[in-house]
Amino acid sequence: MENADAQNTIKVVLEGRQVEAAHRETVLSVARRFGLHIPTLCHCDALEPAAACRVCLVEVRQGDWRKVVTACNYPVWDGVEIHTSTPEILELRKLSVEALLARCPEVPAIRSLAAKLGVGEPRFPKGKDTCILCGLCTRVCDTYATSAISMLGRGANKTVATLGGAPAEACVGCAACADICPTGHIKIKKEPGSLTVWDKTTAIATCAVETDRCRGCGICEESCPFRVPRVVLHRDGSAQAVIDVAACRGCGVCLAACPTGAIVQPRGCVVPSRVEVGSDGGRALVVACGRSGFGQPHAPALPERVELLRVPCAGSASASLIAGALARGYDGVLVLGRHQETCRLSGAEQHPRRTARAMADYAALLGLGQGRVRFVEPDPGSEGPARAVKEFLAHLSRTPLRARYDKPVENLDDALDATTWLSARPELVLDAEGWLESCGFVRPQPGQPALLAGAVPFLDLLIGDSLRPWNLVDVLRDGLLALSALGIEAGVAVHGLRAKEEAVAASLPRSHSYSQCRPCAERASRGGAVVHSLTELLAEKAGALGLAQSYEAVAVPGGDAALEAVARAVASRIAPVEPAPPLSLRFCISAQERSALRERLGEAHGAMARQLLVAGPLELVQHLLERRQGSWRTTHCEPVLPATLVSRALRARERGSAA
Amino acid sequence: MTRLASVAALKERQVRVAASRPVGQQVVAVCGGTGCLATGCKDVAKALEKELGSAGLKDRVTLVVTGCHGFCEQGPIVVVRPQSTFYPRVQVKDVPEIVARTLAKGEVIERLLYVDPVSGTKIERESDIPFYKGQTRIIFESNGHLSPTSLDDYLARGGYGALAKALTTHTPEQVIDEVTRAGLRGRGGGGFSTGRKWASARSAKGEPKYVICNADEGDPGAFMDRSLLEGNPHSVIEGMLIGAYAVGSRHGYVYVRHEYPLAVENLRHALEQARAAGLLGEGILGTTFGFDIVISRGGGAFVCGESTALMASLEGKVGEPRAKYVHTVEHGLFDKPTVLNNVETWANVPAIIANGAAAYASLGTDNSKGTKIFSLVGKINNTGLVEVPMGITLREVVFGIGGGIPGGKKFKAVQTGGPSGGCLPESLLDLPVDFQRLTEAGSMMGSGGMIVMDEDTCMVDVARYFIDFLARESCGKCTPCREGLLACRDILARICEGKGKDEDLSTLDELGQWMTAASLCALGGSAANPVLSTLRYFKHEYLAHIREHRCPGGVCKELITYSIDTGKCNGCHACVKACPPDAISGALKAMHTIDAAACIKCGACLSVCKQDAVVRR
Repeated sequence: MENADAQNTIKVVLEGRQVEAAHRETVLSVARRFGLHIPTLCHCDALEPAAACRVCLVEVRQGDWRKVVTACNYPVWDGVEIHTSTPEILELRKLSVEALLARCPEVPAIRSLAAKLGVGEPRFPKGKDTCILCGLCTRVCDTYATSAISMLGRGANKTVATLGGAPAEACVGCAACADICPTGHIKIKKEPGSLTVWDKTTAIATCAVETDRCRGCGICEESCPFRVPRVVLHRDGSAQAVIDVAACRGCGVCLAACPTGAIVQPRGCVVPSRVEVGSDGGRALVVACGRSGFGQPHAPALPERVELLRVPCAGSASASLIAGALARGYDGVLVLGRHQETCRLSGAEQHPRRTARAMADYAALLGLGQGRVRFVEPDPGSEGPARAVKEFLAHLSRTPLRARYDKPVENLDDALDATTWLSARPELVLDAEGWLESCGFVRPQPGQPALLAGAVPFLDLLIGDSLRPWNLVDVLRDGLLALSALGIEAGVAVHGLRAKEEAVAASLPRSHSYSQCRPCAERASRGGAVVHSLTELLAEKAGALGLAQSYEAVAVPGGDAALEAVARAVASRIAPVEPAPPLSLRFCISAQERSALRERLGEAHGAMARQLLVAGPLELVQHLLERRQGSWRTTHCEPVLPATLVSRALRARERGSAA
Repeated sequence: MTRLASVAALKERQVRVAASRPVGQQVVAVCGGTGCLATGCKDVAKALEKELGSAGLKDRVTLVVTGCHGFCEQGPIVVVRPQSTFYPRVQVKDVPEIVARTLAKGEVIERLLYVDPVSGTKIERESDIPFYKGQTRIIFESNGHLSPTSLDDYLARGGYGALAKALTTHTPEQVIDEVTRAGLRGRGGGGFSTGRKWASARSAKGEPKYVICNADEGDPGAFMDRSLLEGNPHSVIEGMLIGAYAVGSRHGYVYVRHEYPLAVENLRHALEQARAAGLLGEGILGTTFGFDIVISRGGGAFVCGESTALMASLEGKVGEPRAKYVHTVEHGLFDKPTVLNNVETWANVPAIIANGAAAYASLGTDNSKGTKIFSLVGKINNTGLVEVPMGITLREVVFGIGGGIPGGKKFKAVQTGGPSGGCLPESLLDLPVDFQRLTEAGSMMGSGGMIVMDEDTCMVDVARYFIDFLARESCGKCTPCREGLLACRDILARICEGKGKDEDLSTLDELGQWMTAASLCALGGSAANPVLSTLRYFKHEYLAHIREHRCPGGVCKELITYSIDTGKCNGCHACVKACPPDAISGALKAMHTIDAAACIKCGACLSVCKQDAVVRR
């Protein structure tokens, strides 16, 4: 209990020992913290205590006063004495369990608890039930889903049921009730594409791979929280992701993470390809799963300004979906999670949480403003999601965007096109401050040289997460280090994606600027700026840096003298490989392009080279997608930029001298 | 009704209305309570009105259909004032005579007078009747005088004067102090200090604050709250207004059980009148105090009389209680500070403010002040609602006011406190009735039910009745109440069928201790009381059932037999005709016999035999 509020900390006596507790903390919480076990049946930390089973009984005392209470919800106060296992308490506890054992003689959880407490043959009328009426199912459905089930009747007739015994209209098939049930009373039937509980069958989305788009990069395999997709290597040498539909839970994280848009959800999918905005504009998009309860008869209505996108799981909220929404003119995008602890898709929330953070930075970078994209896990209760929406709207201003992007944005390639369009919008003023600061970069001071960031910020925000642990922004760090070694202290200049030459030139400092991407440097120069290729500079000057020559070979695409020169500065051996064909800046590339990439990597590997020099950041990303960290297809041959090669040698030298 | 925009306006109207009803004026009061409605008082009132019209007495005699008088087995009740001539069991055919003789000429109609069952004498005046004489009707008195649908009647008797006094001469804290010093304790069963409850709510944090009137009266045989709400709804409204002022609340609810349509109707009417008069709403009596009341009806669940279950029901949720470790005065309705009090408790408040704490506290005992209204029912001569000072003995109530046991039968027990209470034997008849003493004896005050039992009552059957009631009414949320009641019901049923075992008694005791200690709310927490108290005082009856297969009260069907005393039977055939399964054989004028195998123990033969020849053992 670090940082305990001094006024809030009280002293209670637990089994004769004085311990510290928070004022109004429950007895159960205090006991657990000190390793004291009190059995419970109807308790769940994520839910308000019901105190229904009466198994967690304890005695509280002060002086002559004593009372038998339930530990799960009794709030402690200063000076209270707690006794958890007096003979009377044990007898009362045993009777509670004896009663439940009589009611449900075949339930393993009750039988084992009874055995543990020494409960004998029940003296109560014997039943054949499997439900102990703990209420965990109804409480989890009320708190974190749609109140589809309820207690009906009272006393001996009390049961958990749906209204009228009919399949529950409000049930969204999340099966949290079955998960949380301690006795196995709630049965679910899971078939590929459907889940049946309480006589209601809900279509469950499952993911499937469109093989002509799949480039076997394995990002889906790495991102799936349930380890379902597998990249399979086929006879013809191609690699394709395969998703076992029986195992797939339909969270859609793979769909969101896939760089080529190769994964779709053919069943029960409600992710549309187009996100429409009202004619009056001024709308926010809320992406939420069924457990948020929107659309249920008794659920709070959404404000008019909101358009709801029902998804099977927030996991399917992808960067391209959000980019498309922003380009279509939505003021903002709110992705709602829904209490992962009680969701069978728990784990899927990490991806949209990171995506939302990155896309918020993306929106800010493009000049759309702050706070446009958020991931929120709503408060418990049926009003939680609506409250989260209201909160989001309260701080949401109208988008400055004056036009509406009308092309589909279904994958990252589309997202890049939309980004290009957004970058060129005259009413949006690029704001790189936030992004620069988060990376630890500074913009160039007046008169200071600049290193052009190029496409790196946009690629990093749109896909950077999927490339982890490799960090795309590092190429700029390497570029700065290399420049520094050459006596050039540069700042980082950020422009829009594929920005017009004149716009770039106009914003660059008077002194020289550098780019790691040759076409980018050429374009900027055409616009009137003085932009050098960092590769050419390194080719010229790296040799004079006196870097130790590593004995490891560096593979260099044939015919590129500059790359060769850089390689020679740091490596004793050059392994030439086939020249690189011109690569499109597209994630979804043809099978031939893919195999050409793989062949080059394989060739480099075959030449015992550890690194393969590539010309620019875009080529780098393309090569990276063909190999994944830690998979057998990591060919030990890593594609690197020239600046990276040089900065690694520089760092090695530093370490060597430090040692 | 014009709006009373100030205290002065209220006082002026009170005076004016009282003046328009001179003390000596002839009034014929017809009881309009539910009991009398059932016996036909509506027709009697209509007949009176018609008869008064045709006799030309309409300007000289005022007809008032009043609230419940409380002498409920004697309805339809007609009282002629100012002479207080009391006519019970009036029928429509008696009306012309009443008008012609009593109302026109002041004559008393002997044949219509009340006959005291104990002395056998006729009694003319209401105040001389032992049933009324023994009572101290501070709260209930007005019921017999005013029409529940007339605000003016209430004003004429000084109604809303206490509210005016509170608003103008007391701060909220002073009101709480007055109520605390008066020693008012909750009349719904809990007996908690009302002043303390209000003080806690006042100091609790949270807005808005709520006051609730618990009119869910669920105890079988209890109908005090019904008669108060039906008969004098303004007294409850006034009490709630004063309480709301004290606590700092602007919103009130009355939660009425669904089965009280007349109470709902009269209350609704009273609320409308109060609003029109500016006694509810904003700026009451020209002050800055504002308050209004919403009626909410129950759905037929005894458990919703429990305060937290009631609040859940009001909120639209399932009527299940929750633990009260966090008090409802801090977190109650909609999680806000809430004061919940019983109908009778609210009805006591105006009297306390009007007459002062000292006057109120001059009645009662050291721990229980004021009066309590009991519903005296069962094997008793004078059935009805009795208001008595705390501290009166059970004997005085049962034999003094109640007139003792009918049919010359012997008193066996009195059950107090409803299903949460216990049965007290003859040896405890001199027990003073107050919160503490009743609890010490193993029973409790409860909401005021008092069921009298005689030698023909089986105490095991009584326990079984209450356990069965509770088992059906249990919300079922917590294990001890739900499963414990079922187990107890099972055991008691077996005992009543003659299949009991000795160890059943220790099992009942063990289950009782468990239910009392481990239940979530007071329903389960007090459910064992009927069993435990009958075990304490009437164990011999249990043992008779178990060991001798005998039911001393002659109730448990499996253990009794009906037979015909051949010495007394005259062969009149009455029982033969009455017997549903035709179990009695015998020719006319000859001996009759009952076939024990076919007998269903319905007791029809016993009730029709004029020779006293049927023997039940």
